[in-house]
Amino acid sequence: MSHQPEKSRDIHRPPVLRPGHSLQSVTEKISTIVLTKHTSRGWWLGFILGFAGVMLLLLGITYLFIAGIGIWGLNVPVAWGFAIVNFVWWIGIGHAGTLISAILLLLKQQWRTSINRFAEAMTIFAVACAGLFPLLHLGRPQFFYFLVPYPSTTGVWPQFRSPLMWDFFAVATYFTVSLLFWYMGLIPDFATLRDRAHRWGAKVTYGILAMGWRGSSRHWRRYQDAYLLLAGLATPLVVSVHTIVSFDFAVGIVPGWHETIFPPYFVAGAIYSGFAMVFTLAIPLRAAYGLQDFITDRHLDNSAKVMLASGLIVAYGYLMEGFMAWYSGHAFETYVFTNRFTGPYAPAYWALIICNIVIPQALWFRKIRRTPITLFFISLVINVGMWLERFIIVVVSLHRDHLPSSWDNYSPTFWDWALFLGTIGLFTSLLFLFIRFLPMISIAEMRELVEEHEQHAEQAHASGQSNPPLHDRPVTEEGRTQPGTESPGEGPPPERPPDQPPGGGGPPESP
Amino acid sequence: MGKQLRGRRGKQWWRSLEELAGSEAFQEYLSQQFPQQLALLSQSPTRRQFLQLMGASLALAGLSGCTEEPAEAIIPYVQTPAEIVPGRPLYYATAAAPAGHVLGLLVESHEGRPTKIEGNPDHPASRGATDAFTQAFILGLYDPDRSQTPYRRNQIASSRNFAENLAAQREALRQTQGAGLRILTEPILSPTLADQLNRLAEAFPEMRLHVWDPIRCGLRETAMELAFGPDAAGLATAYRFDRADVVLSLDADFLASGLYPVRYADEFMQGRRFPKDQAGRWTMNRLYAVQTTASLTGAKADHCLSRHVTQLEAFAFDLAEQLGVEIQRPQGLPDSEVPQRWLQAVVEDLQRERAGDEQAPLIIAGDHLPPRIQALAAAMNQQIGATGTTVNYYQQPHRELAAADGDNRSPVESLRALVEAMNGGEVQTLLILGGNPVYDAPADIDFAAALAKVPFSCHLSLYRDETSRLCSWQVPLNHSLESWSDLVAEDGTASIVQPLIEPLYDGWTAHRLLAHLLDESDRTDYDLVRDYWREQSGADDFERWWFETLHRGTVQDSAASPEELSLRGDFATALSEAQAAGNAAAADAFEVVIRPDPSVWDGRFANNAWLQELPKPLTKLTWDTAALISPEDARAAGLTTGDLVELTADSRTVQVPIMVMPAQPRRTITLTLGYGRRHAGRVGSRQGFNVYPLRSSDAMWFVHGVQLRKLGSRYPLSTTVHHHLIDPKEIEERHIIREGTLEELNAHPQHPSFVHPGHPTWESRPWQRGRANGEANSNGGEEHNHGQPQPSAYPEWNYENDEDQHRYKWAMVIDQNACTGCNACVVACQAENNIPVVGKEEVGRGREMHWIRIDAYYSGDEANPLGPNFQPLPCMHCENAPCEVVCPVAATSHSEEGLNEMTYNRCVGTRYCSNNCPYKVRRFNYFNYTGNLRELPVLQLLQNPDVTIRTRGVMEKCTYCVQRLNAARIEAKMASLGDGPATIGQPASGGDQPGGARDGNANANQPNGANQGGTQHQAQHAANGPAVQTACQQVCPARAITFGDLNTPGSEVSQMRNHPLNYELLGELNTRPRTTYWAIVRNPNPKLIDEQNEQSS
Repeated sequence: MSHQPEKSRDIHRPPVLRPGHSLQSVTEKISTIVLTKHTSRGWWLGFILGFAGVMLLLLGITYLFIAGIGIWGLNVPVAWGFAIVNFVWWIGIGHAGTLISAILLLLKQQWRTSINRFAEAMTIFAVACAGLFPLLHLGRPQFFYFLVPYPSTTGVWPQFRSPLMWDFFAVATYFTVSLLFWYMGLIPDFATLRDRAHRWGAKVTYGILAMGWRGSSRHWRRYQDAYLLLAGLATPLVVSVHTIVSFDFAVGIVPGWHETIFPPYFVAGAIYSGFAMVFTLAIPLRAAYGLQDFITDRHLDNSAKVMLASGLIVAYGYLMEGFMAWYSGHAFETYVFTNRFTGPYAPAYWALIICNIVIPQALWFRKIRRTPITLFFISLVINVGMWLERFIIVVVSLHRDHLPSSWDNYSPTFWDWALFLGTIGLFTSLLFLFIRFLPMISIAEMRELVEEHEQHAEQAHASGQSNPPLHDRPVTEEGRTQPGTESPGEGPPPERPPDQPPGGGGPPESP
Repeated sequence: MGKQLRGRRGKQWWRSLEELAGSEAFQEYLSQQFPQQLALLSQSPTRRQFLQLMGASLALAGLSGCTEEPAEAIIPYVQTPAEIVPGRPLYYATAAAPAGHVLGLLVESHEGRPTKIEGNPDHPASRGATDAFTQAFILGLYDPDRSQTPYRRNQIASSRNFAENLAAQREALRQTQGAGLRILTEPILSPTLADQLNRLAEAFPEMRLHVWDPIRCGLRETAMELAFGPDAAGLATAYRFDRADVVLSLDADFLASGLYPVRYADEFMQGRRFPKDQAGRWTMNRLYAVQTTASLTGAKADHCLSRHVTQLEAFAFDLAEQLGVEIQRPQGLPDSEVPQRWLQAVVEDLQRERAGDEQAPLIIAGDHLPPRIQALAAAMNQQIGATGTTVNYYQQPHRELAAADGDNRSPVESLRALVEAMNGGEVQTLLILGGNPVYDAPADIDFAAALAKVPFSCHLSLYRDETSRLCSWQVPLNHSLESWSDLVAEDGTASIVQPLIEPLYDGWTAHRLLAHLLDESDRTDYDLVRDYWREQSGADDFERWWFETLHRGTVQDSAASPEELSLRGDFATALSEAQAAGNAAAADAFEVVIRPDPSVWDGRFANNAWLQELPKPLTKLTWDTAALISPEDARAAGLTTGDLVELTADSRTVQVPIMVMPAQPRRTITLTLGYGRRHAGRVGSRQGFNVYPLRSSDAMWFVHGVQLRKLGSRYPLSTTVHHHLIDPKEIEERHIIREGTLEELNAHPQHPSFVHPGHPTWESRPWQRGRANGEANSNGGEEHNHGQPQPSAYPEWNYENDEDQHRYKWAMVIDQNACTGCNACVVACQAENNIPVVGKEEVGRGREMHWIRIDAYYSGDEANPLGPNFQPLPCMHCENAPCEVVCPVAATSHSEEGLNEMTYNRCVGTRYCSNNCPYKVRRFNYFNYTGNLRELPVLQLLQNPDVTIRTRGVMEKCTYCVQRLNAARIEAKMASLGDGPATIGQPASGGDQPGGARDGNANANQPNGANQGGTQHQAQHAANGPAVQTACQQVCPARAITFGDLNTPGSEVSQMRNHPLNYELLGELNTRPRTTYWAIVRNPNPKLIDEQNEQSS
């Protein structure tokens, strides 16, 4: 990216951090949400709703284990239903977190800063929800460990040709790396919270979680190395997980599944739905906690662009499915494709087209990209659309495959819905717990931004330039760490907050 | 409890401490023990209840002050019976008539419990195969709802009590010479029983015998009398389809029902296995069918028309006139609406010059048709020279009844006379031996009301059914597999029925009952049967005769010889005086055709879950009956499948759900009998709708002027196939069914174009044109030559023989030409492989468990479809199996012999294999379908010990009966220790051309005795070492399924696989299935082909 044209565009661009913030105000603003004693009614309302969902989930799982998966609407030929649809959907949602955190970090897209934390949390929770389904959908879940290549006396190993086997590894790896990555990023913030907490319990808890973070330059250095390394590790996973999930279908010979376009198309779809979910969460949070300064219209704009781009790839995927069905001249493939928009599930297909292709075209307009309410609406629509896409792929392909004598329809039962809504409840509850007990925006990274803003302002003042792009400026190391003089948790700020005594809140650094 | 005991005062009678105590546990125990209180499956004891009960009994045992556990010794065989090797089944020959026609059977017995029924190859009616009813017969033996003790006025009684009562009746009857004694039986098929009845008639001269059967209701006999005079009425008719080159069926569903469905299917299909004529061209028989409702025979026909019964009658008259039968076409017959060209073509075909006198045409009329049509058919058979060649009439030597009440030959009249006598108070003692007249009597004969006026009525039956509950006594009947008896097939061949197991309950047989009545209660059934045959056999060494007969399963040389008959002189007059088929249907009314149900028959199998769940061959409906209506009528009346309607005829009404049926004639509704039972048992009670109320004694099979009224409510029907979804064009493009004509086959005998059609859609793409041709050719060539298979990314298996080791390469070829869709294979597979029943709701959800299913595809248009064509689908055992690569835990794997094996205890239930199976032959245990085995222990006896019972959450599918392969392998290995063959035997081909492997080729051109098919079948067994047959193959009456080893040179299966008609289903997916199909070849009359095309276009 060249310097000059950026400059002029940047003038019109909203900043990634509303001007006027100091290091202290950032810390204050974010940590108060966690450390306040007051728990808002809105939070309770949301959490109780989510918790009701968790109860529904537990009910669904309990009855499932008592009766068997016959309680779902499955049959032969449609032997996979909501469980797999939900699995793919949740996994897809889980993609945005890592994409924002890792890939955008590597690409030094600084606007990621204020949204990466909860996007990562979203990833963890979404993958946790997703991870339930492969387990629950087994006919005999008690033997799930047959998929693990453990040394057993039977000498029987998993069957390594099966994509389900690969799935197991892909999802497990993804979850582990995402969790590490998230936790890693949280460590400096844990230290800040530890230092700022007043209650003993909170101090101890955050203290343990901070793992002795003192904010020394060595800490920071290692932290940044490790963080980058993890980002590097996580990046291929963004691509690999959904690629492998797509293999579940692409390796099969079911018409409508057996398509080479699936891996890229699934990855794009995952990013699409992931960003949509980020919007679905960020926009209400921003409003509820007054975070407009941190999650600015610039964030919305950028994310909407990513969403639009990935949405167009998805649209291209749909188009190619149709083209290949026609071009191949394969009777089964052609039929499956036409059946999608003329068969018994045609309403779902048309809704999918409207949700995933037609409505998101509004994102071409800047005005819409910068209006939270329209974005929120579009993101909801895309979430629905992406769920429908998975439904179309899983169910509609299966319900009419090669031999017409076996064709049958699938209709979900109460228990199908219970599990789906239950995982939404689980996701919501985890998310509410997260925003209540953990900083939903990375304090440390925001402080970096503040610092850069200030330095940038100084430079601009000195050179008479307007704002250069933030990411083009190397982060200065100077003044970032002054061991012993800084509050260990507060990271790089060069100034000490006036109300904070040196070393206050944390254990003194030993010389 | 002690307090309760002490609390009682005075003299009281009690049977046990528990009863006296009146504890809840005892009440519960009562309700468990006595099944009349055990109405529903849901009320069967749960494990918890069982434990409570056990706990309670233990507590009660404490009443005696003794807590010591009873000493129960387990006694091993001190001296093992010579024939028993644990783990190795034994086969016993017996016979049974589950659906009213006798079949000779071989029953497999595991350590004393019968588990599987096979056909007896030596029996002329079964020829080694059976029908679906017989396969399910074994479930009836172990049915937990069977009547278990006698009941007196619906209270439990004892056998001794009944015997005493019967003795009292006997003494009373002795006074009156038997006046007031009536016996109502089903048609008598047992010579010993006939003998007993004759002796009873001698002892009680005033006694009267009545025969009632809702299916065989006497029209055949009336027709015989009409055609050949009164003496011929008792004669049986048997056809020889193997000698018929042209068959015209007048609404006769001879492939599915009737007296010889198994044998007829075999004989008929012999003429369809392409024997060659002198010019070396392949030939086939030709079947014309005129039917009143869609039937399996119509589905196999080369030309089929659907007409009303009145039109059918008109057609029969037209045809008879054309053929030169001297009759006069009566006035008032409607137009048959059969095209003149069609009629001419049939006439020419029937009158064609035939080379020798071995072949003849054949006209067969359904037993249910008005006698006039049946008599006409008999007359036409005389005229075209069929009698004596393809049609034979037999005396029935062992069935003659002196006691038969001569005035009332027809069962309907017989029943009516009985009911009149009962109403008139003439009947003091009524013995009902089998049957269920309260349920199945014609609507205008109120049997139930009359029954109330009989002081002593006794129903001998397997179940406490509708009739039992209205009789003063109900006596449990021993199942045929528990009893000694004998049975005579229609052609006179007698078989001894020998029991496979001690009676499970305190049951009686008709023999025992009559013996008590004859004051011979010391003679057991065994004695009675033996004594009868000792007399009949005339053998010097009776013990030897008896042993050999039991072993063989048939009484040697018992078959009767054909009778010479000629038409009665006044045939034309008699015919015109006989009753017409009915008035032409009024424009606003429907004609209702009533047929026995393909699953539950007349209702006797209503409690048989295997049959209930069996998809009916044409409708694929399970657990229910439905009114079949043509699509046009349905549209006109605004009806769709599942709408409830009310049908009214003469103020009698029934309610039934509608089902739209493609081949149904216009203005006709077809109903099947047997549903809506009130007291069938926990499986069959209140299942479906009873249509008997529409059936009156003058309209048993065809009800005219029926009004239809839509009720506005709907009823869920569970089918295994959704007919309405399928667009014929779709099937066409998929090349699932490949169908051609004999002419096309003879035009290109080595590469018939219809077998390898290529991909037409490819050719529609200009840039694909060149490739498309190449594809079609290479595809066809590959399938045909087995030379270069398409490449695969997965490693190739080596199945070929080594120098020192024989490898097996199992394969199956299914001759779709022969398959009649009769469902016998489905039930046989269920019995062999312990396949559970899932129930109506689960079938409705698409979760049926059958390992082999029969797909049915129509061709042509909706109003005049051809077919359906039946395609049985077991597992294809693909060499490149899509299921194997996707299983994450290797629960389904490939064997070195090419089988796809399922390891149930490794399966975690991802169901990925099912999704990836293009044939959708895998079945998943969505629930614990086998749970009832624990709750109903008697069902455990039924299970085949060689096959695992599957639990919830595992996938299962056809294994090619791997347990039979393994048993044969063990046997072969053991034999090879001696001097026997080391390999599993393969039936080798007897024919001189591919496809002539079956005996059909050899037999079609030579006269052969009735037994020949059977002996050949047996010869196959003995071909080369212990031969192995899959269950579906063994049972198939039409011998459509061939199984064997491709690596054995000359094996039948490898010859069939090399036949030009052989094709792989979905072969373009490169799955390389081991199960392949023979394309369907029809033999339409060339003169009618254009017309058929017009009809179908």
